[in-house]
Amino acid sequence: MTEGDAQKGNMLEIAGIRVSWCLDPHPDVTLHVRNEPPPPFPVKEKAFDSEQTWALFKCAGKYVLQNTSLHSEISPSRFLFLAPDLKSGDLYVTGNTPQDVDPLGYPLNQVLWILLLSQGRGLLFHACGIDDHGKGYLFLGNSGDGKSTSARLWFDHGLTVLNDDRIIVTEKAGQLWMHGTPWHGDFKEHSSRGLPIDKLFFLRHGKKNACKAQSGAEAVSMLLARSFPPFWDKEGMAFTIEFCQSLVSKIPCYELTFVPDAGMIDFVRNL
Amino acid sequence: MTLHGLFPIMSNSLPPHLPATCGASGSKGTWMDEAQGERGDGFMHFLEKVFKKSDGIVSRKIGEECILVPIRQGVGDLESIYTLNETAAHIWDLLDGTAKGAEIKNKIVEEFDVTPEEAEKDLVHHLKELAGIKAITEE
Repeated sequence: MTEGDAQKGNMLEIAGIRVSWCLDPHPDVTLHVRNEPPPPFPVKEKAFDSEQTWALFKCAGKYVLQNTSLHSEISPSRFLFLAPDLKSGDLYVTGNTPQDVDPLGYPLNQVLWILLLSQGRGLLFHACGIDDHGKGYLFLGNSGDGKSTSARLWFDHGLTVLNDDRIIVTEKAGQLWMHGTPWHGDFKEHSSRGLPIDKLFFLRHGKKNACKAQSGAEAVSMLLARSFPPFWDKEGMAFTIEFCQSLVSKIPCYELTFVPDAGMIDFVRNL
Repeated sequence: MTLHGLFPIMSNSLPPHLPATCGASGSKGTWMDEAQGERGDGFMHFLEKVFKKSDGIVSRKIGEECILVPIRQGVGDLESIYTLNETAAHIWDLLDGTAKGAEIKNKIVEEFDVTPEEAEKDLVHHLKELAGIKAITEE
């Protein structure tokens, strides 16, 4: 590379002539990264404000996502403008041009997936996923319920942890599959693998290993409370509830209290 | 990676179902108008009015029950997923924007083993509760 040349991610610039390339000829979403301030958009058209790390707007059918809340004292530095069909968008980045493989960064990446999943694709859960030699166990829980602890237990027994904190569930040919994500919690081992779900657990710490079957509206409500639904979107929310109902009707669901030792593994396997 | 702030976690610590013939469970269950007592003017208000389901709510029947989830723009009222029991879910079905509260009461008396007084009391409680969470609006 000599003075005047610049290779930035998937783009090469020489003598002011820029060439960019795309590794995937058929992506679901194509984003163009622009190292410039975003065009003005009406912040009054708020769709949702997390009040911490992001805010979502909807103007003229298009979503705009920024990486700070409207309540934040920090100015946003990344803005994602999405086409109404969510198949393309422009990511405006102020400051340094991103060099990494995920120019979106946290939390825009996760919110984008929440939007994409709500288009009838699936749902992101606050969950730990385990691949037990082809049997998929999904442990759902909020912070402190034992997801990372469980992940470590299963990992220490030689099994694959898809993720200890974020799992995506989709439906394929009538079967419900769970998929690993890169967005881990305290336990950093993770896998992008996907497999059908055999059992689903609402996890929490206890004094002994015990479980209680859950079904119906209560189980759906518990799923929703451990998921990342599109609260701002009526159509997306309707799909999300229907998806949770499908999950509950097809997969055995249990409330599981557990002791963090190897006994949990046989207990879960023998249910 | 800290995930705090990506998304507010909804509480699932729902209070118990109302012991009466109908009820919604949710994290915000204030439905009694204490100033009016149990038989204040509010009773007649709710029986005379026509209510409809709010546009800002998503509902889904699950078995005999029904789940209500408000559409939201912020985290202020996130601790709210409401589950209607069988009777409350039936009332939800009847809130079609044409029937007065009194007509719904009459249907409950016809279809369930309750006295008109019991039906009226529980219905008004339930309508107040639904109005309180903005699940219904006056037509």
